[in-house]
Amino acid sequence: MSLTSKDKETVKAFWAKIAPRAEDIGEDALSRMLVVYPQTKTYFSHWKDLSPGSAPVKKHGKVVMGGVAEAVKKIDDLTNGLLSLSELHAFQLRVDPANFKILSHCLLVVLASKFNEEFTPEVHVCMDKFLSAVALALSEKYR
Amino acid sequence: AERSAIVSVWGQLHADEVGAHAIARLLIVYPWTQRYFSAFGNISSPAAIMGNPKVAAHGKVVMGALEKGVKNLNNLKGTYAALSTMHSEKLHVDPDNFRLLAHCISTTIAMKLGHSAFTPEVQEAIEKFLSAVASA
Repeated sequence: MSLTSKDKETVKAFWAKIAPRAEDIGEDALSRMLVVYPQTKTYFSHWKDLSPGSAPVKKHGKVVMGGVAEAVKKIDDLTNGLLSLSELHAFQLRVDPANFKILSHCLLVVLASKFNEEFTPEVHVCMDKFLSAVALALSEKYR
Repeated sequence: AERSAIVSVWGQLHADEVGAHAIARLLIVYPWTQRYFSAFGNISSPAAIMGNPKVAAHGKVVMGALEKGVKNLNNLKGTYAALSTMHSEKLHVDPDNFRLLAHCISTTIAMKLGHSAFTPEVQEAIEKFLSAVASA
């Protein structure tokens, strides 16, 4: 299920539309993940406040979206482009890769709710494929 | 609180529209699910799927079944016993597909309600409900 050149064009075009609100999107997606899938809180026990919209969640949402932006730039070679992020997630953070699916779902829900005209089924399938490809690239260094 | 969120969201939706839209997304975003719907006629492209009346009709059927669940939150297993047998023995649907459809329903509700109404808490209640239905 690799990304076709049409998929990549769709992702880049959609990203251009949503990038100005990337921080908001990141914050919302992360907030939702922590509420809807509370098992993910285990990775953030060092934060003072895990409630939706709190300062650590906002800040981290920005970081995560920075990573997604990076992935869009490196869309032609995600595996190599995201190597250092993969190492970070594998060796330091040790996030179970199953969680990448969870965060992807939350991101898609946020995109659907904020951009309901632009988030057509065609855009939805391309973004889902893209986020799955990113998750795969992030899992590269795990074993 | 979760139960009232679910009932309240259900009240705000045009069930048929949501159903039709969610099934269409399922068939477009996870194309392998099309294998269960070969009797639906033309589902060869997103445009064909979105316009297909059988897809829309089926969306209505699915939402009707979910509405029964919303009205019987205390007894989902009992409510869905017959549908469970039908999905496993007659339709032979891989249960993983319930999860995929739940994702599509959640996404469609997010689009219809918009960002401020579809809060994380509402999302949690709906996803929990859909997951409980899938188990039943």
